[in-house]
This record gives sequence, structure tokens and C-alpha cells, in this order.
Amino acid sequence: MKRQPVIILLIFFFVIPVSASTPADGAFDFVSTSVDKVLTILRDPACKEESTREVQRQKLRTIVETLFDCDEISRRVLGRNRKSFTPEQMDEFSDLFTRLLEKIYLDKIQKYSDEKVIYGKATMLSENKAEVETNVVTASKQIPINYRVVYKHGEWSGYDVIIEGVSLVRNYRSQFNKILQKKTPEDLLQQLREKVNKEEAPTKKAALLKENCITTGGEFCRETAQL
Amino acid sequence: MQGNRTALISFILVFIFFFAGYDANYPKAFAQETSVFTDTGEDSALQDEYDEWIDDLEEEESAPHVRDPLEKLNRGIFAFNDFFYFKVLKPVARGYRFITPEPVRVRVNNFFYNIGFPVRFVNDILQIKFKRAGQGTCRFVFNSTVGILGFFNPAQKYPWLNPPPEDTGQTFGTWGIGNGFYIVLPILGPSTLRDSVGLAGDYFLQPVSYVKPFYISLGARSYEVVNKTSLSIGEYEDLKESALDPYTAFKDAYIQYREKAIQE
Repeated sequence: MKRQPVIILLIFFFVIPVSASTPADGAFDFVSTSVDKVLTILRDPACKEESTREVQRQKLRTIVETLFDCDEISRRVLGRNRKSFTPEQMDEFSDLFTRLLEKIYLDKIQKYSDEKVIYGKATMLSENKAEVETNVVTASKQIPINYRVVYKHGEWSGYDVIIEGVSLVRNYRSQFNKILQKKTPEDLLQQLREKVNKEEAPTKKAALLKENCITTGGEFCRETAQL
Repeated sequence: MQGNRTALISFILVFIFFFAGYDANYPKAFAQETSVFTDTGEDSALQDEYDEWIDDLEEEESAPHVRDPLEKLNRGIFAFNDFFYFKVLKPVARGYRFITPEPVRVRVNNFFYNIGFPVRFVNDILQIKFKRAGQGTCRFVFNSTVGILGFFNPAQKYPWLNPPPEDTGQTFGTWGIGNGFYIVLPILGPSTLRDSVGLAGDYFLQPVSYVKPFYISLGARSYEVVNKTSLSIGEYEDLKESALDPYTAFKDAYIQYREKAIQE
């Protein structure tokens, strides 16, 4: 008999947290924890030196991978065009595009480490999508960066970033649409391959050159020696 | 017995509370989706359905299509502007950045923003945004006095004193006038038919335009641009680098950016 109030209290303990947190709060927490983690790594004095840059990058990469759902983003940037892609082409596209985005995103955030991030509000866009507002404050201005997240398979994941009102997904989609108007998916993949390899070149150039020497024989070596 | 009944009622009440809370906060589809996905088996079919659903959404989201009948000419001017940026504007801005400390450049930028007040004020009025016109006026008075002719920006601390800036192109947009078609202006960069006409309107609202003789006015405008560029070196390069088709990337970014500005 005397135990009942305790049980009721216990139930309240379980119930209240559930009813107090809304989906928008969940989205907000998801984005803010990830961004905070990124900031902690960026500000870690041990990571400031040139030698630890690659280690820092690796750490950042793992966080960025949990923040964004790259397959979802790849699908969205292609839109209806993906119907003309074979599953293999789609896989390769997803892989290449992810590498390109990672490269762009990591380069950018590694440059900016002393900026402050102010969190704004989170709003639901639809039943399972939300937009979380953040503001990056630099010396001369504020840059609004909003994250769009979707709730799927029991967890949140990012599917778009909106920088100063410009949606990254929409921007790439317009480019891919334009390219695919005249060219085939294979051409687009080739263009992406060149882009990604060029972007990653400074670190991998030596290794790549060696590989090429083995596969193509002496000619390539002589050419590169002249360069 | 009495005790048991109260306990039962409390339980029911608690459960109603629980589900009421759950229902209000988690929309139905939310609960449905999670339950659907725990049911395995029809994954691929579901995936397809989900994809199509995304397609529909994309359709809604996608930008209003802005025609580009002058694409050939525009691409030419885009290439020229690119050349101009790398060969003229950027070297000048870098030299200027080298001899001018950042705080000075930020203040010069503040000054130019502050004297552009008439453009924002008139367009607030034309868009019937009287509250913003008032906020903008307060900002102008505050920064011109306490901020010493607008070189400092004490208003920055107060969010209500910083309404989003309006221009004539945006005013046309809120009046329901569409973009027309896309135009790349020499040196000035991406624009549309509507926004180009808007730029002419802005020109007449800019105090700097009325400075005589004309070459001093032009000099001041050029200085404003160089100063602004010195604060954002690298932004153009970054966007260009990350693009596969830079021309389309800038076109889309401009249109999205203006759309957002008109909505605000």
C-alpha cells in the first residue's frame, strides 16, 4: 500500500523526460553535440601543429561522418537523374562525392578555428525533418549556417547545409543537372574523379606517380622527370 | 480496496498523460516510420517508395527556374570577371590588405554600410516594413553619433538594431515581379533582369552617387569594393574550387541568396 506513491513517482520520472523533449529538441541536440565535438578538436592545442594535422583530420572525419548521411546527400544531389545511373555507377558516385565534400568541408573548418558558434533555434520542416540554425561569428561578420536533419531508422542524420541561404544540395544538384543535360553519367563520374584526385593530389601525388610508373612503364617516368 | 482503486486511476491517468504527451510531441508519421522500419522484409520496396517521396519533396523545394537565354554571352562575361578578379581586384586588395590593419578595414566597411542607409530606408518603406524602417533609422542615428560617423558599429550588440538590409531588387521581388532572366554584369557579377533594374534604383539612393565631380564618386565606390574584397579574399576561390561547373554554381547560389533575401 505504501509503495504506490513511490511507483507513481517512478513512473513520472520515466514519463516526464519523454514528454518534455520534442523532435525539434532532438534535432538540436544532435547537431549541437556534433558541432561542439568538432570545435573541441579544432581548439585542442595539441592539434594545432602541422605534424598532427592529419590526425586531427582523421578525428574530424569520423565526426563529420556521423553528422552527415552521405548516401542520402548523394541521392538528393542527383535527384531524378539517378535513374540513368547503374547501381555500380551510383556507388562510385556516392563514394567520390563524399570524398569531395569531406575535402571541402574539412579544409574550410580547419582554416577557421577561432570563430565562435552561436546556436539558434531548431524548427521542424516536416514530420521527420528539422532545420537547426547556427551562426558562425568572425571578426568582420556573422555567417548563418543552418543544418537540415532527418529522423530515420531511429536516429538523426544531416542531409543538407545551408550557408547564407544557399543550400549545398540544391547548388550541386543544379550543377549536375546542367552537366547531365549534355553528358552521360560516365562523363560526370570522370569529371568527379579528376576533381577528387586533383584535390587530394598534394598528399598522394608521390604514391600515385609510383603506381603509374609500374603500370605504364618507363615512358611516364621520363615525362614526370622532365616536369 | 480503496487504495488499489486510486492506484489504478493514477496509473490510467499517468498513461493518458504519457500518450497525450507522446502524441503531441511526436507526430504520427514519426511513430509510424520507426515501427515500419523495425518490420523487416519489405526493405527495398520501402526504400523505393521513400526515394520517390523524396523526389516529390525535391520538386517542391527546387528553385524557381530562372531562364538563361544569354548563356553564351553570360559565360563570356563570367570568364572576363574571373580574369578581372584574379588579375586586378585580388592583387590590389591583397596589397591594400598588406598595408592596412584588419580593424581599420572593418571600420571602413562599417562606414560604407552606414551611409548606405537611404537605400535600406526607402526600400523598407516601399515594402511597407515600417518597423524595420524605424529600426534602421535608430541604427543609423546610433552608429553615426556614438559610432563616430559610422566607423564603429556599437549597434552590433543589439539584434533588434540589425534588420536584414533591403534593396530595390528585393522590393521588386516582394511586389511579385519575377527574376526575368539571368544576367552576368561586367565586374558587378551575377544578377537578373529585375535586380539589374534594381541596381539602377540603388544607384540613385546612394549618397556616394551624388558626390561631385564624378571621378571622386567612382573612386569612393571602387575603394568600397577593394576594401570589401580585402575582407573576403578566398571566398570566391573556395566556391569556385568546390564547384564542378563554376558558372552554374554561382548562378544557382545567386538565385538562392536573393530568394532568401526577398523572403526576409
